[in-house]
Amino acid sequence: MNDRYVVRVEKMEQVTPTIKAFTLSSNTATLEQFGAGAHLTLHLPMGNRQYSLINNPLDMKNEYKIAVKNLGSEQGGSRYLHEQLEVGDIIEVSGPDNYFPVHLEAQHYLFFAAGIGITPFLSMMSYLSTLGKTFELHYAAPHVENCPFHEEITNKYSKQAYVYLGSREEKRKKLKEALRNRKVGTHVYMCGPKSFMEMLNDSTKELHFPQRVVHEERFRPALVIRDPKPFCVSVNGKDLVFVKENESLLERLRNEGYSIPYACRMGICGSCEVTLCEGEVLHSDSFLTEQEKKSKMLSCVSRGVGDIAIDVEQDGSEK
Amino acid sequence: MKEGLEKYRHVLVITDKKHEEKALRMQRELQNRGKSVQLEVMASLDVLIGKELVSNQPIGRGLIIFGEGTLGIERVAVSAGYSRDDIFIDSSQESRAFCSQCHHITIIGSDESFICENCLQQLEPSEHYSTYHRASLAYPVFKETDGKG
Amino acid sequence: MSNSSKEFPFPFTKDSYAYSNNSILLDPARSVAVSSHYIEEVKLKRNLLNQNHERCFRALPLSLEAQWEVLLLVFKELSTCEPQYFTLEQRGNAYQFTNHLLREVESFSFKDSSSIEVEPLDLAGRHVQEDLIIMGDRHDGLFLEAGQLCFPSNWSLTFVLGMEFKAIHTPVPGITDNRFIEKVERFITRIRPNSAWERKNWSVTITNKLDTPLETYSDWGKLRYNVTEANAGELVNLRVEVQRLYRLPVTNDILFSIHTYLLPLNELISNDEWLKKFYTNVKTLPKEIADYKGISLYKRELMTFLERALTQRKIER
Repeated sequence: MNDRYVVRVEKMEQVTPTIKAFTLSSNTATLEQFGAGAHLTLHLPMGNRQYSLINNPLDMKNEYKIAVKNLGSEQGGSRYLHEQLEVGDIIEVSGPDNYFPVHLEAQHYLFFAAGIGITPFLSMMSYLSTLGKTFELHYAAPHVENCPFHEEITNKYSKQAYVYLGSREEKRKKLKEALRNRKVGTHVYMCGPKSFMEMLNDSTKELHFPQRVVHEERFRPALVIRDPKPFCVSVNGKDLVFVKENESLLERLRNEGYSIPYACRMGICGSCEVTLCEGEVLHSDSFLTEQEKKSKMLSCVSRGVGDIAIDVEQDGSEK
Repeated sequence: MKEGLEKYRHVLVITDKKHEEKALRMQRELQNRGKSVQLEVMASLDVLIGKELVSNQPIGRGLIIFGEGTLGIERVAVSAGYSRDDIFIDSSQESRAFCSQCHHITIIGSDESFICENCLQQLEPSEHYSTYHRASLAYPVFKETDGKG
Repeated sequence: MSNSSKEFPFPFTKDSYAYSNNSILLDPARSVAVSSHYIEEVKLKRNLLNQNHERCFRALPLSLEAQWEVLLLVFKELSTCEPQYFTLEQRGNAYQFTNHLLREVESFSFKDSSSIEVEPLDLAGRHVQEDLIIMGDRHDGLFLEAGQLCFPSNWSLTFVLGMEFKAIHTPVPGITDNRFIEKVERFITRIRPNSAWERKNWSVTITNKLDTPLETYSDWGKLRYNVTEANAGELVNLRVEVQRLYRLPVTNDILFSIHTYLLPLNELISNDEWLKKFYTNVKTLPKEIADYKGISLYKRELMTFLERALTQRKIER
């Protein structure tokens, strides 16, 4: 899978006073293709940071472009990228991944962006333009100076882009208005701060948009358990099993003679699911839904906190 | 009322002349439940007119189709961007069986074996159902003696 | 050992039957493979396509972007992973793919349908042994939107075209009640871009033909009545499909490739380990799965044949 690899900083551009764009490339490796809405994970000294790719997926010349807003915090990844990184530096990355893919069955796209939330739409708009599909961008920012890619967008997408500056209330009113009188086949994509997304989500509900055509990031990357701790498990209401810090629940159960099915051992395929009866669990999979996490866990990656109780079905009972 | 229709505030009902009566009943039933209903009656279901109708609907509407040859309109509705579960087809329609040997669809009256109109194979419908073809897959019937000797 | 035996992806790892999502992640991600039967199988595919195009190739218009993505993906993969057999040259938007095994050149402009004579997926499939299926990842589910299918095991591409993944698989016994298929679907929707997963799916077939479509079932299906203990070694083949699921990064759709391998029982039983595992798996097969795989009709003859082989080779049952 997209293991970590290194890229070189080819170019840095100041987009606005607080936003810089970075072009990353490689002389030795062929960089993987990506889709509109995809992001790259940067492995920085202060941890992993994810940034949307802003170049056109259909015109990718072995480079990835990202735009980063300097959030200014002392230990922040964005500040590091803005202040420490120089052209020629090597950084470690993984991906690209895509939690925000463009659905090609849509007849028309409505993009809602606020501030730096514009980034995923840059790849989407250039991609859809190449395909000849119709879209609109509704873009809110405090003022022109703080409106990343304002010039590029208004030049390139003069007919599709609506930029909203000015007071918060006025912007809200206009954004809501933009959702009105839409035809079947319209898909809505939104990216911005939480309050912005909530306001738009509420409006789509008021207007009876089917929620399946309203898209924000589909699911978050799985939580990585950095410092695994031992825990105690009661199995099928009888056996008591102790899982050490350096082993998984799946490994322990199989060693105890439970023939639990498994496949990926990465929290992706769902094969090793067990029923959670009692206790708190650190879920580290990207398979179960939030609802399912209340009563299930994937034994390959997720761990109990203290004592938990589970029920397991044996392999073979599932045909 | 059909299961799943409860969530729509607006519903478009399309019918051919022959099934108008039924469509009217559906309209009344939906209206009694406070829904707004647009009823469109065509002499017979026409894909081009249907396409124009379904593509210009506001987002979030349910679609009900009555009549002979609903499949054409159903497909243009999917292309126009309807989610497949926003489309409801009159369930009292005749059963259709898809011949696994020649792909011809025969209208059948029961679940018993039948002869394909096109390739004349004796077939038996199965439970494998395609919502795309609106038909059940039908397998050839073998006799114990087939292939022996 | 013959080439077929050496390359054969023997599917059984356990001594009893278990239906599970036994997928593994491929590193590097691959969608196709070239075996020693490449030339004959590709020629067979093309004959089938020429004679029964409607049966072997179907595509909905919505699949076109993904089809182009697959064409380039497959040609790039072949030229990168098998450079001795394939070359791909690019000049701007113009590509030239050379198949040295078949001494053929395909020239095309990317995403220009007028530059190729068949649809992009159909072209890609004419240079690989695999059947290629495109599943569209739509807002309302995962749908089969295009396919080039020459070597199906008793299914019809035309029937499943446009169908949702879940509905395609409902006739597999025992998998709807425990929501197994929903788990598989969710697994597929979460495959990451540029990643490929592989699983092996086995069945038994009473012919050495790779092309056993449902459309000709009335011809080959009756062969199952002919199996005897004496002819099982020749007539019966273990059929293994190496199935790969590949997330197309640009369209976000799924490429499902199927590479089919056949091994006559006479060759299988010459490997003690294989003989024993095959025997125990067939023996513990639940009845409804045996029915589904079409084995029930001749299971008794098959078991007798395998038991005799086990005895001859002094292997404990």
